[in-house]
Amino acid sequence: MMGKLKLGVFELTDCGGCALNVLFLYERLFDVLEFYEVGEFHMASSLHENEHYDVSIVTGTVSTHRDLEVLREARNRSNYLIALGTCATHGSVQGSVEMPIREKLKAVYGDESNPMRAMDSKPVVEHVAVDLAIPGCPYNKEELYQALMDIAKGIDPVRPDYPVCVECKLNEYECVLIKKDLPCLGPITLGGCNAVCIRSGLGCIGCRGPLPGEVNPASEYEILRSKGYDDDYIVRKFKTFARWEP
Amino acid sequence: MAIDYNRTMLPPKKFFVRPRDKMLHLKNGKWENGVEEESLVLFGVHSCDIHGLKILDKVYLGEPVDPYYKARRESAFIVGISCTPDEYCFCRSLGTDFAMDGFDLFLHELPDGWLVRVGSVKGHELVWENEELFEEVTEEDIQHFRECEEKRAKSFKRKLSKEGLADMLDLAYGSPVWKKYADICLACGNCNMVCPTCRCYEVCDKWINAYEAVRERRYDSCFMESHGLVAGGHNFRPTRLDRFRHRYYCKSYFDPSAGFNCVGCGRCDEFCPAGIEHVKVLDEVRGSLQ
Amino acid sequence: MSENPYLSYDARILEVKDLTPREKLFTLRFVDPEVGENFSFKPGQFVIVDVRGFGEFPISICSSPTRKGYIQLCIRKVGRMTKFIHRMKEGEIVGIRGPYGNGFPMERMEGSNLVLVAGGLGMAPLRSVLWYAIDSGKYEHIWLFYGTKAYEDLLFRDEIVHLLKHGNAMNCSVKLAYEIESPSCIYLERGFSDRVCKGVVTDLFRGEEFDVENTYALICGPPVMYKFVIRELSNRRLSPGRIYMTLERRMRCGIGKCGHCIVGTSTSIKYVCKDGPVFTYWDALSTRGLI
Repeated sequence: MMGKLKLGVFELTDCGGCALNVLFLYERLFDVLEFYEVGEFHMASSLHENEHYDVSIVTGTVSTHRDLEVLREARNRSNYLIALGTCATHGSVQGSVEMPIREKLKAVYGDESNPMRAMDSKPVVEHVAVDLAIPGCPYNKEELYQALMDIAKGIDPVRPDYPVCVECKLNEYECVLIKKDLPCLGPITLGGCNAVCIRSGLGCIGCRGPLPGEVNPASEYEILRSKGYDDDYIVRKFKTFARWEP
Repeated sequence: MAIDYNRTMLPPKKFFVRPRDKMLHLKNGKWENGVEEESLVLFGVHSCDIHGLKILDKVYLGEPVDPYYKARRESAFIVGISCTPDEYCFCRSLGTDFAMDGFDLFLHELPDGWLVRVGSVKGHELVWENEELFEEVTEEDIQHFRECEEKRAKSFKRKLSKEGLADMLDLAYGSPVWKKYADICLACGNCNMVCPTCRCYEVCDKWINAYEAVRERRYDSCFMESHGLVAGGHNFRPTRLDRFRHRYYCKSYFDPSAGFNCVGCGRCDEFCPAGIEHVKVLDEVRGSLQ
Repeated sequence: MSENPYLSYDARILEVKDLTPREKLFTLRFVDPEVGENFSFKPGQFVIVDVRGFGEFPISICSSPTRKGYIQLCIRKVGRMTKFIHRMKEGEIVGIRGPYGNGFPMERMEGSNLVLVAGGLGMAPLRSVLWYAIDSGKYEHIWLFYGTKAYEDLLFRDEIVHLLKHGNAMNCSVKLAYEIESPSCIYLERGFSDRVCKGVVTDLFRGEEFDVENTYALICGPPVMYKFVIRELSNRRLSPGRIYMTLERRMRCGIGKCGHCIVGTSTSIKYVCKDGPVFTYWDALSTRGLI
C-alpha cells in the first residue's frame, strides 16, 4: 500500500463555501484521510508547509494579484490540480459582471485607486491548465468524494455528461419547468448536483455551466420566452454563473 | 386515493428496474450478490403500462435472465384499472388500450361498481379467498362494460397511423422533418426517463467508504452524447439529429410477438420541455415521403 | 455457480507483455480450475473484464480456443479503465465474465480458404481465428492482410514476422502494409518485397485473386476501414454472405440489456453484443448504420 498522498486546499477569491463544504463531508472525511494527508488548508488547520503536493484543490476566482501568485504556486507544486466550484471553473457571479476593473472600483468606491491590486475576475481554468474541474455553486460533496477516492486509488475520476433533467427524473421530482412554469435551465445545464434546487421547488439556476458538447440554448431561450419571460431576464439568467451568451 | 389519474411521471418500470439500482456490493475484494426478494402490490396500473411491462419482460427475462428484474416481477401482484384518455394518450392506435394478459386482476369502472377480470392464477386465488367481496356478473353489467368501452374508444384525441410504420420510417431516413425537430430538441433525455419501454442503463462503480464499493445502474438516455461513444473517441451517433432519429427508430421497431416498442402512453409528449409530440413527428415524416 | 449473469469469476494475470507503446498482452487463467474447465469460447467472442470497484469493459479474446488453460487479451491503453489495467502486474486478480457474442462460424468455413483482413488493433480477434485455423488444420489456404500505421504498431510482431517468413509450410500467406516508414520495416521490405509494402491494407489486395466459391473473408479494423475493404472484396465477386466482419460498440452489460449497442432502423434493430459482434456483409446491407 503506497504512502498517503499530500493534499493542499487553496482558496482564492470566493465566498468560502467550497472549502467549508469539504469539511462538511463529516464522517466521510475519515475515509478521505485514509489516503490523504492534509498539507495546507487554511480553513481547517494552521499548517503552512511550502512543499510538494500530490493533489491540490483550488477554489475561487483569480481576482487579485495575490490570487494569481497563490494559484501559480499551487500549480507548480502539485501533480494533480482540481478546480473546485463554479468560481474556479466558470467564473461565477463575480466573473459575470461586465465592466473593466477600474470602472467597477469607481462605481462602488467612488475613485479608481486599487490598493488591493484587483484584476478582472477570471476563473482558474483561464489561467492554468487543470486536471479536473468540478463545477457547482456549491458543488456536490458526493462528486468530490468519489473524485478524491478515485484519484487515491489510481484511476481517473468519472465526469458526468448528462443534463439536470436526468437527475430530476431519477429522483422523481416534479418538473418545475413544465408543471409550474418556473424558469429552469435544467435541460441545458450539466448534471451531477442531484437536482437539489428542483427538490426545493426552484428552477435550475445553471450554476454548473452548460453541457459539454452539443447543446441547444436557442431552444431553451424559445421555451422560456413562450412562458412569458422577457428577453433581458433570460439573458441575465444565462450569464450569471457560466457567463454564457445564448 | 385518486383513481382517475391520467398518468404518473415515472412508469411502473421504476419498481422493477429502479432509477438507481444497486446491483453488486464489493466487500473484501469480492462481490456480494444483491438480489432481494420483496413482495409488491401495484394497484391501479393502466393497460398501456401493463403492455409496457410485457415489452420489458421480453428484454430482461430473455436469456440470460436479469435476476433483479425477475425476483421483483415474480413477487409483484398487479391490479390494473380502467382509465379515460386525455389529450396526450394514443394507446388505441397501437392496440395497447386493452390488456389481455400481463396482470393479476383488472378492474373496470362501471356506473354501479367494478367489473373484475382475472388474469392469472394468483389473481384467481385472491378472488377465491375473498369470495364474499364479489358478486356474479349480470347481463346488465356486461352491457355497461360494453358501453363504457365504446365511449372510451371514441374519446381519443390522437391517432397514430401505424400502417407500415416500421417500413415507412426506414424509407424516410433522409427526411428533412428529422432535422426540423432535432433543431428544437434540447436532448435533455426527459422522454427516455419517463418512457415505460425505454430500457437503456448506465453502470457506475461508486465508493461508499474507504474500502467498499457498490456497482449501481441508473437510467440512461440515448440522447446523451456518450451513448454511442467508444474508447478511442469514435462516436457512432455524433450529432443530435442522429440520436433524435435513433429514438424514433428504436420505438417504432415492430416485434411480431410483442408489438411496437411504443405503448402510446403519452408521457413523452407531456414531459417534453420543447413540446415535441411523438405522433405529430411520425405523421410529418410520413407526409414528407409523399 | 450463481445465477446472476453480472457476477464475474476471478482470473489471475499470469503474464503481462508489452506489444507496442500502447498495447499490452495479458495472459489470464481462472483461479477456480472448474470454471476454467467449463469456459469454452469460439474465435470472435468477447469477455467483459471487471476490475472490482472501478468498472468493466469488453475486450475480444485474442487467443485460440485450441490452446487450453489460459485466455489472452490484447488491451490498448485508450481510456479510463484501460489506463488503470495497464498498471496491473502479474499475480493480480481481475474478474472475467463471458464469453459473449456469436463468434465466427468456424465449422461452416471448414475446408475453405480464409482471407483475414486486419487493420491496427483489429488483429486481436483475428489472431484467435488465425491460430485456430492453423492448429486445427481444417482449412485450405489462409491469407492474412495486416495494415498498421507504422511497423512499431504491429501487434504480435514476433508471430506475424515468423509467419511472414515461414508461413508457407503452414499454408499461410502474410502480407503487411504500413503508412509511415521506419528503418525496421525498410529492412523487411527489402527481404520480402512482394509481401510488405507502404500503403493501406487495401493496397495488399493488388494482384491477388481468390476462388470465390470456396473462400470466406473475415475483417476487423477501425470503423472507416470496412467500406474500403468490402469494396475490394466485392470487386472480386465475393458474395456478401461470405464476408464476415466483427464490429464494436459501446457495451455496458454484454448481454443485450443495457441498450447502448443497439444499431439499425425500425425494421432491423440489432444488438451488437447479442446478434453480433460478428455480422455478414449481407447484415450490413440490410441494417443501416452497421458499418
